[in-house]
Amino acid sequence: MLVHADQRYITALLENDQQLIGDIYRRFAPTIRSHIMNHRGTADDAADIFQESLIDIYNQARHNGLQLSCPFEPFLLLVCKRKWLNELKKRGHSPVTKLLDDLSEWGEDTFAVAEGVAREEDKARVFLEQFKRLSEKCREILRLSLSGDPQEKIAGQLGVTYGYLRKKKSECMATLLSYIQAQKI
Amino acid sequence: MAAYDKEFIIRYADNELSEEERRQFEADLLTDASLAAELSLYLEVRRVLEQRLPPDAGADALRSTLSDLNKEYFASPVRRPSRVRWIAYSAAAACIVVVVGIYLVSSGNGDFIDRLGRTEMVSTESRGANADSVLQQAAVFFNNQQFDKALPLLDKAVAADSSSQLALFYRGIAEWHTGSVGLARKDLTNVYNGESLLRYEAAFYLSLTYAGEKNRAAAMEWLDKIPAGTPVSSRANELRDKLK
Repeated sequence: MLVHADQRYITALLENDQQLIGDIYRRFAPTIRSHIMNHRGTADDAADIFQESLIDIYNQARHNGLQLSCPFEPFLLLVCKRKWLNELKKRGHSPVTKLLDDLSEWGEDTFAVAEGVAREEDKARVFLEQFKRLSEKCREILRLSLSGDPQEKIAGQLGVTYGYLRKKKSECMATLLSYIQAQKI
Repeated sequence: MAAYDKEFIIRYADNELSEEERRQFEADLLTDASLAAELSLYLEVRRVLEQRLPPDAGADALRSTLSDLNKEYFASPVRRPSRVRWIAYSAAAACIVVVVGIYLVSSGNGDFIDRLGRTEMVSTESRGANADSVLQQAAVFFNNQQFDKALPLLDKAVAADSSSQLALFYRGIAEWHTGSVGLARKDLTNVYNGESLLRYEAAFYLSLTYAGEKNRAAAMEWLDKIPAGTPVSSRANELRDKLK
């Protein structure tokens, strides 16, 4: 895949390059604000959507090695628009029409990359939300168990036996899976 | 699905089964799509939690940067000043915010379109970037209605950043004021076809260019593209009333 020159914006997010991130705002924030304010949103909504979209892109770059094969602007626009569409649905503004009607003009590649980011981040959000529903003990056990440290060391840290830790970890994770499956994502 | 509970599936994925248990599980996995789906979900959840649960200093730093920029770029709605203003704040990081003000100089009959639109470029803060400096210089001439002097600078701003909707928009208006109606329409149409904050303002000015030629149908056509609730809607209604 040929990486687009606008990958520099993704790198800027990863490296917290304030100058280039400022450029992202200067070039693209007015468009997003305009779109959201023209579709039932406020300036605060636009700020939240813009920020969270950039964080989503950061997460996909950091954890899944996102690489841009398309220009950044339409990609960011689509990520923001999709997020705003979801927000409108949550607020009970339905049916929402024509918000994404212009997708075809951006090209399939841009659409696919933006959809991929949105889908992955939606899932991650559900997983983390459901994780928060677990008991404090379960959250601690899973957090430590998934840290990469040896399980024996973690058992020692928690003051439990290795066997108990394994059993408890499986129980907590099973509960989490049940919560997630109930969300029907 | 074969009779495996979630904990068993998790133990398989975490390599905690006996050899015999593992062999049987893998045999069932080959023929049981539901079991495979459940295993796949667990692996995905585990991967995401491994990635997202540890503290992420990079994400925290980025959030801080974004919060600061949000205050700068989304803090307040677009303002419409009632007179020419040039406000220079001393903040280092900044942007040009251009606000359009339109004055209905006369409500009398006749050639009111010529006297209808005056635009302002208001800079809230100064910025070192070259393209923005050029825009600031253009704004000085523009706000003094010296459109012929603003035009070369706006040309320069467009040349420096052809995607700059601000530069295109104000160049379009300057072109209109200097009689280059065709060029004005081209720039304004480009702005309208984009997705910038100024697209409905561009539609409004396109309407004005036709209203100035007494082409009521074309003027109304552009006004009809402006939905309710935009920053320019009330002024569009005002013009629509005039055209009627």
